Amino acid sequence: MISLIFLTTIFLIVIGISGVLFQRNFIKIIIAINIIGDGVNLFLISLGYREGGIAPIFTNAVSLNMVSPTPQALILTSIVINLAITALLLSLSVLIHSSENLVNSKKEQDEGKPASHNSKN
Amino acid sequence: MASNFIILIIAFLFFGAFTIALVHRFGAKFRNSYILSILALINILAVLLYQEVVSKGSLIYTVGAKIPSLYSVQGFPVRIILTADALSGFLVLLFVSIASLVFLYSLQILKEHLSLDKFYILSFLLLAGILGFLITGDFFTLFVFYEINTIATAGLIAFFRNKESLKSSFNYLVVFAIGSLFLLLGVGFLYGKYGALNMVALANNLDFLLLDRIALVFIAAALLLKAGAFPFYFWKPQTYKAMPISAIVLALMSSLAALYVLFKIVFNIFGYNIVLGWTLILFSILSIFVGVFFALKEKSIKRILAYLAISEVGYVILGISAGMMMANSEFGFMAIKGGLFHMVNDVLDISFLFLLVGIIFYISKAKNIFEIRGIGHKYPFLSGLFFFGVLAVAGMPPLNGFASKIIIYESIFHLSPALTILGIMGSILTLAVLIKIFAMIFLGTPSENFRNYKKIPKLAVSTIIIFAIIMLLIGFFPKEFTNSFIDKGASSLINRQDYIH
Repeated sequence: MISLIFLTTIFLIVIGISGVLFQRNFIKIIIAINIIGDGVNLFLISLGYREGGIAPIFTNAVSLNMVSPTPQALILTSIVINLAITALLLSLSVLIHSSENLVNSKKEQDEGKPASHNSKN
Repeated sequence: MASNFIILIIAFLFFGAFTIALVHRFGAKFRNSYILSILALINILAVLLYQEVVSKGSLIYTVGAKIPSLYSVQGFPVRIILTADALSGFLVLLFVSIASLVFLYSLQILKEHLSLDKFYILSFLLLAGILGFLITGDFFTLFVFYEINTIATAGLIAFFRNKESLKSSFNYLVVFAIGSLFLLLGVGFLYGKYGALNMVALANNLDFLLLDRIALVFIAAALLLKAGAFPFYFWKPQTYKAMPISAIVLALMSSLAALYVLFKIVFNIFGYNIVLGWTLILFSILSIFVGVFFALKEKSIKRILAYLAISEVGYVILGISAGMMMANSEFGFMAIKGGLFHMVNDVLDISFLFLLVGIIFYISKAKNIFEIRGIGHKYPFLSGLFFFGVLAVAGMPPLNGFASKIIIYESIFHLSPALTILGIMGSILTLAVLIKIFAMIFLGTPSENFRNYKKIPKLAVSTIIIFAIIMLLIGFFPKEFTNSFIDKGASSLINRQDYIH
């Protein structure tokens, strides 16, 4: 079970990084970054997982076999931050689009612009 | 009680950042005085904090707890912990005072820009992110401040809203979104193994096996990315080119703060390590030379200075990591001292040159350096100041750049003489680059459009004269400066036992 989660994490991160490296469309780059973020979040939340654990809320129930609450608190923050970054990236891509009417950054390279504008790295 | 200063500095910065938007509606004068009063308050707090950490040792503040402790009542080692020791207290004071000067400068230089309130909001957020780097005591807070830093910087890069700046901002944000996720992944490895996030608890438990090394690689890569050192320097030139000048100084400080966090983690948590030390030395030498060689072939002055900033970061890493290699010896301590001293001089010198270039572009309204060729004939005072800055960055005696570089050279000579030779070569090449741009801007035949130039902005020039005076004083009294400010910081950085208890 756990190793399946780790494999999925690695898979998601690799997909995301290859997306950032090889895609030229701004929206696809943003989606790729989100995929990396999801992979990292999945990894973090799996750290607090317990087989058969209950939600970490103190009640009068007998079982104290809870999943760890800390990673959940952490990825909540991390999700919010990822959302902020996604929103900022989307608004920047809208602004770039309206400033040159071009979402596809590959077209620009084909037109012989200098390599310093290369958006991969 | 005293430890409240740590949180108050951050809290007032965030409060200021979010209320500027509101205060802006009451007019520019009111907003400016509001900004200045918040900065004055933060300066006072920083001075108080520094006095406290120097006289009583390091402070710990635990967010949301009555008594500062590593563990909560239920025994979870997970809390939001802020710490300040002699070094981070000094850096907080230094960065806050430099940022105040820069804000004074931008009150005049950016006066005509329309969305100035947004500039101040983002700069306050960035300053809060930088100070957060310096005082964070746990890894998750480090990640949060890393992101605050990234988002605020991306906003500042896109400030001018032209095609170039929007694209650089997009690229910057993509690079740093991945960098911050790597940082989070590294933190996740440490949490998964030890179930703790705060640095002191980790320092107590760490056994430096394979998983810890992987975590260290991830964390160090993310922080070197922020610092803009060798393998990850590529974002710096295009980013600095697009930013407003005042924001560049804040970005320089954020690079150095990231370096401070890196060395704090390496020294206090992971301990000394030969492989890591030589890797960092290699990266530092490569940053010095990559920065200088790319600067030689550049045409745009902001990009040249950005490359020089990369090479100066290399000197800081060279000093401190060579000190790590010679730990427990007198020369090791001296090298660390030199590296930290150079951190101070780096931010002073490079900011000085950037701010001066900003003034020149402000009075001439030029787009590139070819339009302002020969400006020294009309403004001999500015060209004199620029030459002063050139000597300081290149490390010529008797200025401050020389004072710290000579400490680094003398001490790393005992690790390997080759390193000293490489460092001096980098210094000479820096001088060559700077003399080239000095000749390009200030000498040369004057262009015709001098008549349309604005008046010299007095407030902005006086802020950089303050920079020059500080640089001169440090250059003439390096011994006194290091004794009173750097020594305690250096010993608090290397004393791992102090840190754990």
